[in-house]
Amino acid sequence: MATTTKTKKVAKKLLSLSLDEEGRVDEAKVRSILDSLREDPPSNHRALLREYQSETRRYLPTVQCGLEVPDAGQGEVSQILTGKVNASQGSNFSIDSSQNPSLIAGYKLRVGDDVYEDSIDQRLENLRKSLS
Amino acid sequence: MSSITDLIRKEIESLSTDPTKTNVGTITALADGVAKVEGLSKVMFNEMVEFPNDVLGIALNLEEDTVGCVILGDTSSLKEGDEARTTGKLLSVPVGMELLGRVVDAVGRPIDGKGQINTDQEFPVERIAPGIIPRKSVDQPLQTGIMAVDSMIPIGRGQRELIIGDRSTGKTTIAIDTIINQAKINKQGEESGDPDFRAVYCIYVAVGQKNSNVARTIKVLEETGAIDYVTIVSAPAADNPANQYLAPYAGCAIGEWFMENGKDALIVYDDLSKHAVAYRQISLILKRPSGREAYPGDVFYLHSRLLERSARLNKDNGNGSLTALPIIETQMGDVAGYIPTNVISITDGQIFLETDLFNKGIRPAVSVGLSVSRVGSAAQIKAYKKVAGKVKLELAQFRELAAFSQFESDLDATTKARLDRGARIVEMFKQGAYNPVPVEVQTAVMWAMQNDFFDTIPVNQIAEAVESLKEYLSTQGTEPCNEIYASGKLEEDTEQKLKSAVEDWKRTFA
Repeated sequence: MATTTKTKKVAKKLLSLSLDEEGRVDEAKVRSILDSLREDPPSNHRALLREYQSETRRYLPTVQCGLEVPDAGQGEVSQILTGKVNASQGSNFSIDSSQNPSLIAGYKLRVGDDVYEDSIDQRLENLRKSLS
Repeated sequence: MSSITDLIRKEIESLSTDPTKTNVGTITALADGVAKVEGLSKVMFNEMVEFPNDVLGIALNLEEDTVGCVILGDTSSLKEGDEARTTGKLLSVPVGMELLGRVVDAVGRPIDGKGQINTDQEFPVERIAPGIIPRKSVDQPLQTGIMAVDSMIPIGRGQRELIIGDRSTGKTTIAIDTIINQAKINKQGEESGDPDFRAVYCIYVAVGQKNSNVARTIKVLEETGAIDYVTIVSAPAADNPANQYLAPYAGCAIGEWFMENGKDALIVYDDLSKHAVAYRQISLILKRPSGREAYPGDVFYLHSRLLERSARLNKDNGNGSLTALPIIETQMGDVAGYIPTNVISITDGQIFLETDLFNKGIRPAVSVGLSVSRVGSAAQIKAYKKVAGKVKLELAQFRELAAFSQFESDLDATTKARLDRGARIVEMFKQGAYNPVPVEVQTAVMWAMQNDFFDTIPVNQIAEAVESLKEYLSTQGTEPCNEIYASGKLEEDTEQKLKSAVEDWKRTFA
């Protein structure tokens, strides 16, 4: 079923209902919204859920960033970057750290749609491109 | 061995070690060569977007939540969820003299198996056309080598002249003849060592054509030795619509390099009907609103922004030029179709080719009534202007009278004379494919026709007589032609020499 403007509007409203006071997506609120939709499903239930998912997926990068480091021993790098991101984006910004061994060394930080990267993997990729 | 390692070492040293910042998105849908990407919030219109496996795309639709990207390569390696990233670059193609003699695809990559193109210059495929101030009026001829065109529908350097007609009426042949003629003139000019000589470099853009047709065209250009002055941009029918849409712009960028560097260039778009169809396909997949014949609303702008880039620049801007010969294929001779009327209104004239004339053996099948060049005799050398001034009128009168005279058995002497002259002119204009005639020889033949030298020859032998005269003037009676070539004028003494040469030829022909 095609997404209509009305569905989009409702999905946006659902997203706003899912946020806590600090503007973060609250998991408990999301669960309660999903439960109430399941109990009393609207006619465009599937389309609405899809749109709600898209809205949430688009919103999340604006309030949280993803940090990838090659191993757990890079705690210092994580700490410095977390401090810098919080200073520039505000303390509401949450950081989701994860390990990515393919980076070899360095880091990859995603803030919204922007990706900041300084890793061996990226330099090798640049070298491959320049030689091909 | 050490040189190879040195090469890699230098490459490593030149690499930036600073952190990079890129704007990324995720493919949410992929179909028919178009990817819908979520994210890419900082992407620019027409920016190149990089997908995994070195596949490139262009951002064509910037919507509130998603970006519509047209994929330029193989889409089979991409899938939903793949990352797309901006490059910060507009789509560019390599330009320069190194492209001459090469066959490239829509993004300027060589496809002729002759190795890499060693040029470090690039031009973006989409550029703003020159404004009014840097332009100059078209006043230098661009000889096609086709008598019917050079005499009645002269083309100037910097002009946009449409070649229009049904399928199989000789549209491409006219364009290829013109390219071959430029190569001939270039070789002659380079051999003469004339410092004022300006070569015309050519770009042939094949859009939506069969690969066999493109191969045939390349073969003709190679056999005639014209390939050294030509760059071929190929986006065949088997290519994806994005490449077919981009190819004319890529070719235009290559031509603009010549123009902006003070050189003259000629670009053939073969053909813009298929280009419009490719654009319609892309637009429909991108879900843009469709209009007449399902074309999007900006299909006029598609061609106007392309053809406006052809111009003649003034001396302050290098004096270069880019002449365009767009080709349009009509259906059942309907020039009032949507795309034909659009392109007719954009260009500075058209050469209309008629199926009936073609089938009657009148080739090139130029329709005198429907063909026009808005530049007119400003793009003719003085000598040619002198002899070809009345020929279009005479031929138009002939076609008019011929239609009426079919039902009349008893015609007056004037009508008979006009019909007789018209029939001879028609025969004179018959010309084989890939056999362009130098302008000085054309002038001499036209002079002979205007001065009644063909009047005693039966109409069915005129074509043979014209060929014989052309050969005579190119081999034995070369003096008057050389004088016309050198001065561009038909002086009285040249005319006398021409008269005696034609009389000599007539004795041998008789």
